[in-house]
Amino acid sequence: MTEVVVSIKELEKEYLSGRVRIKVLNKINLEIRREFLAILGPSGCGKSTLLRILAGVEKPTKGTIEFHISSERPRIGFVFQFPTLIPWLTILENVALPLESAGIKPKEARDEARKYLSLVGLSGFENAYPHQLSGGMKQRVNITRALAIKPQILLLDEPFSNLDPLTAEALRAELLDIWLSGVAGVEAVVMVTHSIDEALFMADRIAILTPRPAEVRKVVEVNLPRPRNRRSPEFQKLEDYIYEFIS
Amino acid sequence: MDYGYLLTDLTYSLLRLLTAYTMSIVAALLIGIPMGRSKLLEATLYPLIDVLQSIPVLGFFPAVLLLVTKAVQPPLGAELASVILIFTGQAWNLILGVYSAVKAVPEDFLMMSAIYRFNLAARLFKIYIPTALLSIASNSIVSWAGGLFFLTACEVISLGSEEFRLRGIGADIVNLTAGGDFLGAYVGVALLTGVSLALYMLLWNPLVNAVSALAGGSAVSYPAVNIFRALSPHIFGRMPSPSNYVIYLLSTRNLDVVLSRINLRKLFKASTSRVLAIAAVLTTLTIACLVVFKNVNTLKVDLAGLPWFNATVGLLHSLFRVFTTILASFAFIAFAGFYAFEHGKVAKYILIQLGEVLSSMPAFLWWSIFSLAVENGLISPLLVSFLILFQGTAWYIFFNTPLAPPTEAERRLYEVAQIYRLGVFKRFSRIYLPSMMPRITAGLSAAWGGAWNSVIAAEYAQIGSKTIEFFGIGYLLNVATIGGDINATLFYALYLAIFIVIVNRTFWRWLFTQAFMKYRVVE
Repeated sequence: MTEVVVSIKELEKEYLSGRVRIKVLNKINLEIRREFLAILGPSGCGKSTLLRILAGVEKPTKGTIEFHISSERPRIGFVFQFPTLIPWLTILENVALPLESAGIKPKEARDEARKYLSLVGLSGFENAYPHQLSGGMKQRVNITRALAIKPQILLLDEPFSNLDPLTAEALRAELLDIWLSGVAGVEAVVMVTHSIDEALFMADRIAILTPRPAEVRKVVEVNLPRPRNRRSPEFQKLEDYIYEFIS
Repeated sequence: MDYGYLLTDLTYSLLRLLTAYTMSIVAALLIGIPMGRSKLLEATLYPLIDVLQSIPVLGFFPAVLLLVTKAVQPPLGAELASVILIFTGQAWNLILGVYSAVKAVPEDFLMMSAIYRFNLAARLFKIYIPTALLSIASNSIVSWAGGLFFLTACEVISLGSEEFRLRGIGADIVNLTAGGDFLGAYVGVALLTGVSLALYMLLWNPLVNAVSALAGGSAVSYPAVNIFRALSPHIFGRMPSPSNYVIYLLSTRNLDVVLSRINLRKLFKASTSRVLAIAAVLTTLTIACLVVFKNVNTLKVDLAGLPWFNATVGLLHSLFRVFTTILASFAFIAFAGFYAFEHGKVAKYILIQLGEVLSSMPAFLWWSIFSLAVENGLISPLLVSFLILFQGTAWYIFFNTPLAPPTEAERRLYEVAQIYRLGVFKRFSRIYLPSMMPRITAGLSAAWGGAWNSVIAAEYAQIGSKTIEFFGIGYLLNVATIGGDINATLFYALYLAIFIVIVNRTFWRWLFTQAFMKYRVVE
């Protein structure tokens, strides 16, 4: 059996809206292995909340998350739905900033950032400002920033949903190449999406969530060979199968 | 006549402004950032600053001056008091700007800094301080104008038998006017206006342009001379603003090219009837205002009587003037803003430049500018009084409307109007005005505070041998100050401040909420 990297046990999350308690996540139990896991669910079901709890920026109301990794605190890379680049910093500075915050000397941080920018084809844009880049390029920087800290776990929050279809497709392929080649040293990737097609195209397993309060309805293994062909009968059969759990 | 000393005195005035501006920036960073991040500080400081910015500074200045000059020996005391006065004209806007900017840092940024474990220094120096500095740069135009507005008032002030007179261009203009040297006064006014204009073109406007480009490449474009570009004749041809066209004209004398670029035909393509209709509305409003002003002035009260009664009647007189002026300013800015919006860059540039220069005119200077005409009976002092009120009111609305570019959602609304070929009236009444309402209302509530400061300058003046009086709370404050009655000065100022704050926190807050709820354009 593949090694487990993260264990999510009996996780619950409630929000207080005025005087009303709203339950977003209900008894989530999930094991994340050394894999590319997609979390699939309808809009507003709590997928992003689950991702934020995994990232450590929100606390669960109940339940636990255990990281089975060597370091004391997991290094987490996060690719936001929107690029979230600091507008007054250059591309290079944006990527280097988390490294500097981690205690790396500024010059080394910039060298490292440069290396990762070239990995995603952004050499030559180091000194550009975010507003000078296209949407796709900004999202590449977002991905680069996440990879540059050498994350053990990479979290993706609908990273392609705001891009045009062609750019999105190109970025999906690039991200998969980086993940499969192992250059970034990422142990697990968790991607939140509401697109069955995207989940099937990229993930090793798909955890399907119910509408709010979200529970894990089904975890589907995707054993299709890579690169995946969307037109293959196996792909389409699996798509139909997943669709039954979503609808 | 040798007016060379005016240049030296102008430097004194600018140094005073610069000192106050530096103090305002420090205050904005030290107060605005913590206020934007801490709920406790926000709950305590915001209402306090909201009240402080509503207080008519000119009303309290004599009391502040008295206190400071007693505590600190002259001439440092008077200098300090004047810097404090200018500071109060600049700081609140900057502090609240920084507070709003820090508070508006997107949730994603905060989450990102938490995920990537930014330490306090990284958060402060890479996120909060740059955010604050961007806000400071954007708000500097308004603050600088706010400081200039108080310039004359803080350089010459009589308190009973004592007169405090500082070296500065404001004091010079007042002295020259009082001494009947109108040419000197006009040289002073021209110098001050020229320097104001130069500072906007060379410093503030390019700064705001650069900042808005950095913050996301917004379409704002203030008239500016980029001196680095201006140094190269090769690039003159690519310059976009009218000011640069002037440089281009001077350097190449190629009038045809300049005119073809400005596209005068496009600028004036609005039909004559439309322009006439707008002019007619504005003229009617002005006449209505003057009639109201004149009638209001016929009622007088016994100054030796009860201060409560005097203050109340005075306040009602001034209130009438203030409301009439606010309405006239609103109409003017709405029409002018719409015209500039519809007629492209050049009209917008002209309006912006005009607004910047006019907003920077110290309130009391209008009396000096028109002194000769008033003295000779060519212009009614009523008109000058109205102008002072109008100037002190209109630019607050102005800075909130035509200067702010439409948001993406608003731009799409205008596109809809174009696609469906809405007529000019419908575009104005159904699209432009409603979409601008939240900003206009914010401007109106700021104008309300500005108008009360102007009341103090508009209701009393001494020109040569003539004393101009218009009864109101501003008149009462002036008379009490000149008579050295510090108790009465404080009483009237406090009475006025309480009234302004109450109206701010009830009527204006209600109106802004209504406008925001109803007219905010969202996706």
